[in-house]
Amino acid sequence: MSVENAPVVDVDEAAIPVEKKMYYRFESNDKKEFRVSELAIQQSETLNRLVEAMGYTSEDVENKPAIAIENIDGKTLKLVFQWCEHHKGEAIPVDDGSVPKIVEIPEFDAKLMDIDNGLLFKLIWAADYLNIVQLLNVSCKKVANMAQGKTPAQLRRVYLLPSDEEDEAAKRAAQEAQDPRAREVEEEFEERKRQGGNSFF
Amino acid sequence: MPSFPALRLPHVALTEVLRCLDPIDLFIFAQCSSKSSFVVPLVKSESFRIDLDNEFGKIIIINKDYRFSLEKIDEHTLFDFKCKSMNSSVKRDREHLLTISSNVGFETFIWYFCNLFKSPMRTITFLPVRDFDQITAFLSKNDQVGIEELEITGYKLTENCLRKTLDAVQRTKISLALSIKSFVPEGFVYKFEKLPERLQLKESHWFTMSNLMEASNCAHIDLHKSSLTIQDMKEFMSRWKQGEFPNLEYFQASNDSFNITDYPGFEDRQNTVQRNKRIKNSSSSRYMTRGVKLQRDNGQKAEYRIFGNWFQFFVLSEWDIC
Repeated sequence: MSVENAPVVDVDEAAIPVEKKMYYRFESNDKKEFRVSELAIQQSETLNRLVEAMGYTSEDVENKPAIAIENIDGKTLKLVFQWCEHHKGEAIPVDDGSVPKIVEIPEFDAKLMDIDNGLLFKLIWAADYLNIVQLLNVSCKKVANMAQGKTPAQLRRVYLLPSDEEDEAAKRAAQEAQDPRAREVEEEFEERKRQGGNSFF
Repeated sequence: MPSFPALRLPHVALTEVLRCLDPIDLFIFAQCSSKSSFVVPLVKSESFRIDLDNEFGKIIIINKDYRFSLEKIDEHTLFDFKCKSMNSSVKRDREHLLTISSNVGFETFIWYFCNLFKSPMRTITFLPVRDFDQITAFLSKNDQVGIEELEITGYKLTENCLRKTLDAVQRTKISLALSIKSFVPEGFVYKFEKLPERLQLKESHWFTMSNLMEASNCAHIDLHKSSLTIQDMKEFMSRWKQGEFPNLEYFQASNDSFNITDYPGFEDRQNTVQRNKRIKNSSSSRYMTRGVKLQRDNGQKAEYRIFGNWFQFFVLSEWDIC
C-alpha cells in the first residue's frame, strides 16, 4: 500500500468510509482532526493507554469532542497516523540491547519519511511522546544513516554539533546576557585597553 | 548538505540514533566535540567488550569485531581526517578497522577507549617483548577494576622476561583466566601467589606439583606438555579426595609418558557414560568416556582416565551427561 493510500482520514477533507470497527478522533494543536482505527492506536503505548482509560463507546466517539494532542501539529500527526494505520496489527518489537542495533527501513516507511529534516525532527519527537517503538526505531535509523562515511568535520555540519570553541563562546555569551554588569565591566575593560591604561583598577 | 540537530532530540531518541552506529562510527562521532563524546555512553557502552592485542600490532578490539590500530602511518598516506583527541590522524581502512596514527603512548591509547565507552578492559593478549612498560603500567593503574582474561604470548621468552611478566600479572586482578602460550626456558621456576578461575599452560614442563597445589582454588586447569608424573596424578587425586581443590571442575595434563598400555588402571571400559564438561564463559567443552569413578567422603563424585597421552579428571555435576 502506498503512503498516499494509507487509510488515515482527515475529517475536514474526506468522506469517511463507513466501517463497523471502532475508531477514535484526535485533534492536533492546530485543530486538524483525524479518525484512527483502534488497531492502529495500539502501535502507540501512550494513546492506547489513554483511550483505555477513557473507556469511550462508539457513541462517545461521535458525541464527545475529539481527543486533543496538544503538542503535535497536524502535518506531523498525519504522518504518525498514516504510519500507525499501515503497521496496525504488527507486533511491537522487543529490544535486545545490541549495538549497533539492526533496523531495516521498509519501503513504505522510507517513502513516508522522504520529508525535510525539520519535519523528520518533529516526527521523532512525536514518536517519542506517543511511545511508538517501531516508528522511533526507523526514524532514528534514518538519522543515524546520515552519519555513514562522514568525518568529524562533516558530522558537525550534518548534526549541527558545535565545536568545543563554539560551545565555549556561546556559554560566555549566555553568561553575559544573563548578567548585564559583566558585559559593562568587559566593555569598560576594553575601553581602558584602547586608551592605553595598564591597570583596570 | 541538509542538517539535523541531533543533540536536541529527546534523550530516548538520541540514544536510539547512537545505538544504530557501530563502535567505529561512535568513535568518529565522539571526535566532534566534548559534548558528543559525553553522550556516547548513552548506548550503554559500559557493556561493550574491550579487548587488547599487542601480538600483531597495537590493537584495541571492541565487541570482537571493530578494530582500532595504533600505528605510524607513512607520511604519504592519505588520511581521512585528523582528530584532536590523541593528536592523531585517522584512516578507515576497512569497514571494521580504523588506523590511528599518533605519537601518544599505547597506555594513553588504551585508556582513551576505556574512558570513552566507560567500559573496563576484558581481555589482554600480551606479547611481553613489545610494549611491556606501557601494558604493565595500564595493568597496575587498572588494578581496582581488573581484567577477565590475560594471555601471555610470544614464541620464545627469556626467563627474565617471563618472570617480570608473571610478577606484573601477580599484581593484577584477573577474575577469569590466565593462559601462557609462549615457550618457557628449561629450568624456569616460579611461585604463584594467586591464580584465577582458569589456568591454561601450553608449555608446562616447568610447572611442578607445588605449582599445582598453588592452583588449588582454580576451577579449570589445562597443562600441556607437562612433566608431572603418574605418581603426581595419584597424589593430586588423593589431595582432592581429602577436600583440597574445592572449586575444581576439571583438570587435565598431557605428558608423552602417559599411555593406557602402561597404566591400564586409568580406564574403566565398563563405564560407557559420556561426560561433557562445559568450560565456563566459553563455547568449548571437554569430553570423557570410560572414566574411573572416585568419590569424596562428602559424596562428591569424580571420574578420571588416561586418553592418548592426556590424564583427565572431571568432577561430576548433573549437567555433564551428554
